Amino acid sequence: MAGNAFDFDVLVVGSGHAGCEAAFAAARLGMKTAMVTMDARNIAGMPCNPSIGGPGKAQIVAEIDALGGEIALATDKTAIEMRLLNASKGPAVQSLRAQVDKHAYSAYMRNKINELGITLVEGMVTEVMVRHGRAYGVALGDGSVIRSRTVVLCTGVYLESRIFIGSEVIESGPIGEPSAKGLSACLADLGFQLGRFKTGTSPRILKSSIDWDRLVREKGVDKPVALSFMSVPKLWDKDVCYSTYTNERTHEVIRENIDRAPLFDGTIKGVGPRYCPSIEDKVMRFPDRKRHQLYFEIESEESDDVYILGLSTSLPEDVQYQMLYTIPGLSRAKITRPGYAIEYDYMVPSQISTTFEVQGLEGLFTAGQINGTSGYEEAAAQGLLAGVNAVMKLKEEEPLILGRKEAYIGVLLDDLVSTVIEEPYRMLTSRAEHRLFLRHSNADMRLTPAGRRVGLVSDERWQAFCRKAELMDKGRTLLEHTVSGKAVKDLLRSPDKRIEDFFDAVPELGILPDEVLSEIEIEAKYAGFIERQDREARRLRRHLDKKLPEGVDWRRVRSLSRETIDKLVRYRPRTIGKALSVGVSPSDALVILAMLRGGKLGRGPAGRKA
Amino acid sequence: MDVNHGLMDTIAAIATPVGTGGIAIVRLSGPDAFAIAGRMIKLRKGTALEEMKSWSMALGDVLEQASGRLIDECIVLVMKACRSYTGEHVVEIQCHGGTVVAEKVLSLAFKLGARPAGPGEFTKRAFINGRITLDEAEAVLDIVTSSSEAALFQAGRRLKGELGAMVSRWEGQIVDLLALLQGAIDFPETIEAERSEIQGMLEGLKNDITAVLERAPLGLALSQGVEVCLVGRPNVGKSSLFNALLSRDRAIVTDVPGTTRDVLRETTEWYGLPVVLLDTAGLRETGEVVEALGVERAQTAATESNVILYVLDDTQGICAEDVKWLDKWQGRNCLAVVTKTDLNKSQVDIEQLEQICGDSWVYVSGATRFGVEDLKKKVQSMFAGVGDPEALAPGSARQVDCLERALDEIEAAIEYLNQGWTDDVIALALEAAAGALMELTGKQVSGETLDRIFSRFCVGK
Repeated sequence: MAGNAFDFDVLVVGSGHAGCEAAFAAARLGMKTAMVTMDARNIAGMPCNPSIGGPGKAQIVAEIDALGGEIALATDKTAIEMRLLNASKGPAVQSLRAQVDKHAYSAYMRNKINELGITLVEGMVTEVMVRHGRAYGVALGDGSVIRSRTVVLCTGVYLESRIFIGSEVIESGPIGEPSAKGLSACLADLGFQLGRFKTGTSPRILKSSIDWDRLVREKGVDKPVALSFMSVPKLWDKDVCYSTYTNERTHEVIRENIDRAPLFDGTIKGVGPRYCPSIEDKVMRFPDRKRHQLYFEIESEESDDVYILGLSTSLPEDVQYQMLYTIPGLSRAKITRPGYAIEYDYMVPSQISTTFEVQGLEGLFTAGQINGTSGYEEAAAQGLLAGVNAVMKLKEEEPLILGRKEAYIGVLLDDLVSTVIEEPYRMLTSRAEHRLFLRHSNADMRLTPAGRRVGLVSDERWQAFCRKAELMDKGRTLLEHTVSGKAVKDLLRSPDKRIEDFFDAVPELGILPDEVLSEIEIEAKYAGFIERQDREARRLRRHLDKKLPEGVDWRRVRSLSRETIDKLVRYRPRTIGKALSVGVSPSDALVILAMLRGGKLGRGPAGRKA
Repeated sequence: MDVNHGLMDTIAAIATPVGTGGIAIVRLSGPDAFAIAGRMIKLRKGTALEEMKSWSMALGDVLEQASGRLIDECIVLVMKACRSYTGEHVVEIQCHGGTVVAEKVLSLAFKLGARPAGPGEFTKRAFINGRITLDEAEAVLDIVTSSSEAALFQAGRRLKGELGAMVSRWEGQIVDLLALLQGAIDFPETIEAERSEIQGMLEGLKNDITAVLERAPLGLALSQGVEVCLVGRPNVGKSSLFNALLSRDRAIVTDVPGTTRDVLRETTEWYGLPVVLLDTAGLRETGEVVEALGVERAQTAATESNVILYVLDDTQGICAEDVKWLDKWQGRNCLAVVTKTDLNKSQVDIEQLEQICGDSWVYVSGATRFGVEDLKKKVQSMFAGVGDPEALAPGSARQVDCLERALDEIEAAIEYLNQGWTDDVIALALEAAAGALMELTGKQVSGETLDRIFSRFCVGK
């Protein structure tokens, strides 16, 4: 193929959170980058709640930041309030959550697109252009073709999407936006397995139609904080979040109208996430609960929309009104956009490799909800890695791959590529076996060197990192000082000892910056537990982590059952453990282990298959 | 990751079938097999076990680590990696008697770092290391087939009956606690974890598991053989009775006091009760070194057995020495057995005997077998009505090991709570506790916890 005929090096399909990080990374690494979107006004939109962060997710945001991504900086710039969740549950699980001005956020990201010289194209991608097992661009709905050396699909919830409001079914993306037609069929024709997921959101109501004084104000964090390592922490406590509860009357309305809920009458076939149930789900599944908490979040200073957290629904709009009227403070509520459920196609993520490149189709990468995930943060993380790895591939450099022990992003990646995802995948701290080590506060120490290696970390960030790393080393040395015969770092292992208690004994400690002090304190205090968590994780994964070579033609392997071969071909598990989790029988797993041992599993003569 | 170095740990198990034969073999396989065996066993010739040549045997003593006390004498067979059944370093320890001693030796190996072998794991290793063919391996592994990772790599024999139900319940409670703690971390707006509630549940679990572990010796005895020990002064007829109870001439019987030196062990069955019968040297002060050692072993064997049969000679009567021993062992399943009744000497004063041990005594004759079956029934009835032994108490050292680890972790969690550690640390200990129990039930911690969070709590936006 002619190498000089390309319009772009990296072409990103989609302008959401994955698409932005992917395009930004590519452009920052010097690539000629394009972003194709169906609606150029809709950049980094927040069709669900206007917030970023929370348990597991804030850690991901910090990791993206440490690698040189944008989401944390954008959030710090456009947040209207921040809260610190799990403040008392341990330093590893403490998580910031920012309530963001969604319009300001979108504007910030649009500016970045311009600043980085990314070509923004408006149009609907209907086809990935493929020749000789390699993607070389995309075709748009109008028949035009854009040629690019790599393509990153970040199509979000738009693939063949339909929304449901009561009995109304609309072929559409999130309200007011089109559905992406044709691309799903193209991917299926290329031999990829697609699935269908469902998610939903709550009604937005008009700010002025709420009796705010009947709601309880939620306070922001009481100390200066920031998501990014490069932002100056500041105080956030604005008058933008309130809460109240549903009541028996609300639940009565839902029960009376349950036959009009598409989730319950079989209309919706897609699988929805358990961690994000609709209010009708909650009421029907937990009949004993007398009330459910609701939060009211102002979406932007520029709009009158208020998001209601806790009231996701696809009941008809008239029922949504009846429900709202039962809630104190909402007796004259005006819906600006009804709640709805949305169904969409995703690509079964075990078809991607650890670089986010689709297996069997070189040059095509996928990131975000197309991979079966949920959440802005999860999408952004994948976008960053897919963008970086598209560039690494073009530059023929080592890809950026993160492991479960290094980052929440590594947990996300590993779970995606090698387990069967049965519901939209959201990060939870419970998924990370190394969670005591994977803290927001040490994301820079964990990942900034990797970001620097690929070229995404600016000199400014790198210098700040090196300064901090140096001070951390100094601090660790100071903790070796003994007080009445014991090293300070060992004394700190007691839960009630604080690093300040040793300022008198080791005065040099007192002059270290707060973020360094708190980090070396956590390291010392949790050292024993972190080691232990490590050991446990290693013990569990001892056999399971054995890698299966990529590109084996399993059909040529004798003595495996047909069923096993089908599963190996379909899910392409990376490890023995994952082979088991996709249903390969233990005795076949043993056959594979034995062959690994005997070096009998090389690449088949046929090499990679599409 | 190097695929060839995954099998890093050392596994141990009893390799001989339960309750049969005069020898039981404890097998260790893995990189630390020599080191672990070396710490357990002192070779008679004084050299270190690690220095033994591959495929060589030696006589040694298995010693308890803490006390240095002798557990058993044994024959050790050493096979070095590549030239063993599993292809790894293998040590086989041949112990005496049924499985009771072997279980003790096995527990010692666990304490020193070996891990209980999963079902079929020796075979699996042999297969993985290329020692046996696929067909051979599959024949063994068919019985182990299960789709869960845990079942493949950890799970062993499932627990039965009431104990199984209890372990499942505990596991459920721990997973509930984990779901509560981790649910509260992942969904702080909707789930709240009350520390007092957690503490209460942990204390309950601790008590329940402790109670079951206290029954462990009984469970082990019932599933692997109740140890019944014959003791008494020299030449009172212990060995004749031993032979009569076994219905064969196992022990040498002479009129010479002190004929029996070492402890003899035989497995047998009395009305369905698996029994390990022990014959011991006569209890007396002696200047002879070997006999003195025998007397010491007799006392230890009696103390550690489940039932003591204190043998009295009807031709000699009760002496002060007998009263001392009978008093010592009162309340310890001790039965006085009056022998040589066929000689009609009636020297044993029954009134005196009943003062010491109530109605816990029987008349027998080794020579005529008079009363022998009644004695067996009497011992059997001590354990009757307990139901399926394995259902009530852990019946193997592996099960005890899992329960002990779970208990340790629960105690650690309680300690962390009291010390004021944060929830993430408490969850760490609970995860390990659940993991230990799940080795008995064959589930996986992480998946279970997430499922539980979603089924128990109403979470989400």
